[in-house]
Amino acid sequence: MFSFFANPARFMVLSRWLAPLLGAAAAVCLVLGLYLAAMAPVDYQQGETVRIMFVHVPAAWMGLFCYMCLAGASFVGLVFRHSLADVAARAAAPMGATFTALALVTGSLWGRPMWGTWWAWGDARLTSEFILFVFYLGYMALHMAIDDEARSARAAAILAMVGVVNLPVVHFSVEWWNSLHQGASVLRKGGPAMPKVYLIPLLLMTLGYTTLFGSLWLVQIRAAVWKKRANALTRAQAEA
Amino acid sequence: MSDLIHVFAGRYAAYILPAWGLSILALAWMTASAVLTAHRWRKAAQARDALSDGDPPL
Repeated sequence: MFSFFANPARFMVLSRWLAPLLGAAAAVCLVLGLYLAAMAPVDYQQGETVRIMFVHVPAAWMGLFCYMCLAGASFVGLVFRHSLADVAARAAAPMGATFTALALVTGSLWGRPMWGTWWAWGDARLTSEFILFVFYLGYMALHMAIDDEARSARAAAILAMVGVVNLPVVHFSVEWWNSLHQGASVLRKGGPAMPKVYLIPLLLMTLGYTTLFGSLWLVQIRAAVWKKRANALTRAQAEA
Repeated sequence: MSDLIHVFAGRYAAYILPAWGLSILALAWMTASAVLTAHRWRKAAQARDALSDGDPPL
């Protein structure tokens, strides 16, 4: 499967229709999700602030999901040396960093009225999420710091592999340690612990964020393929 | 409609509006950045393609 999609020509044909399709799905999910989120009833404990959940939870989920994509692509690039894998990993990093930053900021905006504080360094969920953000920044910085493309991709891929250790820490931190952050309320034993009036807009928003990432990831990879082609043609014309 | 008024003018609007606003801005920025970058490099590749005789590797 890797070699099938690693062919840039085949990827360009496939992504040409898949990227707009995912983009349209994202637009529908986000518009509908935001509307239902704005119309959802006020929570009896959290009041209006429950509406922050609809942008915070999908951003936090995407921070983890993008890192899984980044690490998976890095692994394929490192082990199988497929031409598109490094490009895919590199394209996922800025979007993952943006989603993680959004999760941190919206979480802080939610935490202030609910916990009485913007931030708590002693909290495992908050700190591990911040470490995830630092891994994204480190990955991008490493890519920029080394001029040789193959060397920078290899070094960044190794860093991405190391960062995978942090993913279960982020996810299970609320179970392993006492935390200000609430426990899992969607992906948990016994099913989601929230009524459908909150669950449906939350799932719609999550699907919207995920499909938007899928669409933009493909667009970014296409841009990188065109950039390589433009540079290759420039070199060929200069040598001729 | 009264729910919407609470979102935009309720007691916690100072927390909800920045959270929603920043999220929408970030998504819009990511979309615009990706689409414009792709557009720029597609144009560049096509312009160089027009000058080229051969078909260099991707």
